[in-house]
Amino acid sequence: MSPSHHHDVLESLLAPLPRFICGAFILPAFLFLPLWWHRAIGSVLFALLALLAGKRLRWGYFLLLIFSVVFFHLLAPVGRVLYTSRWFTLTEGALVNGLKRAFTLVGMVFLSVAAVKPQLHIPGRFGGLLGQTFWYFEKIWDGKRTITRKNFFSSLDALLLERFSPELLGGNSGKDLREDMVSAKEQWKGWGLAVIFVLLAWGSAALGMTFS
Amino acid sequence: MPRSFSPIRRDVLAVFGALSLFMSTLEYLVPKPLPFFRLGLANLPLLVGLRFLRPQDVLLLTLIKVFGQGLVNGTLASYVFLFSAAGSFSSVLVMSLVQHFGKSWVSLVGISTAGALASSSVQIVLALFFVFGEAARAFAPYSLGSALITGLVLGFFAQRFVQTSRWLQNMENGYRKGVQG
Amino acid sequence: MKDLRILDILIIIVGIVFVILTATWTLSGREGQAFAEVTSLGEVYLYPLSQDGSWEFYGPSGRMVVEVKDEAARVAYSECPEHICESAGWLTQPPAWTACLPNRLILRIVAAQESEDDVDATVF
Repeated sequence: MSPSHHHDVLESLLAPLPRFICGAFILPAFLFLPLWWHRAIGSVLFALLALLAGKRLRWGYFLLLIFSVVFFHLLAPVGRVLYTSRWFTLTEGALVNGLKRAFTLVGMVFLSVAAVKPQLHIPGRFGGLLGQTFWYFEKIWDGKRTITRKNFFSSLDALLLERFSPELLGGNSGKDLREDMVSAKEQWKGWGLAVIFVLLAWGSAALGMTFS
Repeated sequence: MPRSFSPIRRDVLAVFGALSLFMSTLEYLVPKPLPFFRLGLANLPLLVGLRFLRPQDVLLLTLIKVFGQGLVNGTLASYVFLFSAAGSFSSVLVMSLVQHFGKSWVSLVGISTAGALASSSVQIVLALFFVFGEAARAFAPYSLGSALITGLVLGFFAQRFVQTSRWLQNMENGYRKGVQG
Repeated sequence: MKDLRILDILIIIVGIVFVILTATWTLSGREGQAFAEVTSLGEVYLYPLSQDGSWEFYGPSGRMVVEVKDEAARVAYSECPEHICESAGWLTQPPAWTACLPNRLILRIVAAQESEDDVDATVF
């Protein structure tokens, strides 16, 4: 059982590769949206997609990120003054810049989380190495229960010794998570849907640009 | 890949990589008071491996760490990946240099601290340009200060781990034997 | 603590110095920021002199353009009878100011961390 996963709804619609490519092509369209609230809406949509992908999102973290980005942008006042006090001047330009930047960053992360799956096949020997790494990762994660907080390192050491003893070294080549990856035939599943999504994204970007 | 990618080398790298991902996931799950102030637990395998892994394997392990985190967390296609890569590679570069030139005058404490400072510096510069804008210089000393502290702490833990871990000893022996063949 | 070596301590010291240097650098960068402050029809606008740009404003008499360039600001264009505001030219330091009375616009140079005893906007 992998950490932080619920059921991935998108998995049945898109194979990992078209899913990633779809996300990669939607990203520039997102970055072309001119107004901050366009990007805010985009972020919300991507967040929904990420939730559909089964990922747990830490809302507190992202809210804090948005606040801190806006805060630091407010420190450089620009544009119409909305509020002023002895210590601080709140300007419209700085606020808009901050909000735009904040939602750009947050949106990017959500989109990425929705689009990227560990089963994404990375070609070559490095890909194989990554696959094997993930397989070992699952093995360690399965034994997580045995690790205690008090004796963290000794219990970790014990777990590692048990699962990765030296005799096993060299015997595991070829085992990797790619075994549970999609077959070649299924590799392109959902590419039509991916194209539709990309077109929708670019259409929205074009709309946003003409009506801003 | 130079020469052949021996199975033992592959295994060691994969296990270390997996350990790094494990640490990073643990850290991800523990709520932090402030974002951007990371403990850097994922660097532990890199730190302890620095002593005996060959340079190309150190680099490869760093790649595994960065890409692995990007894939598992799903942040591969975002600025997080950029920051992670920049921080990790600058850190590894500095740590390798410190270890190489420091020889026996430096322990993992110093190596880890130097690496943490390097990583933090690079990420601050990136953050000023891409995330917060110029006005955010104010948080640079806090970020560096926390990097100093976490680097120290991690260094101590790494040092202790190296001294007490039987598993690590086994790995090191197996690796050395494996790459000789 | 017992197995700290020489270079470890050296690195820690360098680190502390680095942090202190960074702290002083960020603090020093703060003062000395100047802004072009435009008051038009009751609203106040701030533009840092460090960023070039031009902005349009409208008043009873017509359209105006305020321009910031090379750390200075001016009223570049104004549809008003006398053009006194335009003739003021480039303003660079506080408390330089100019005004277009028909268009109800005031252009002032203000500095950060200035607190006035009059009612004008204070920049932090």
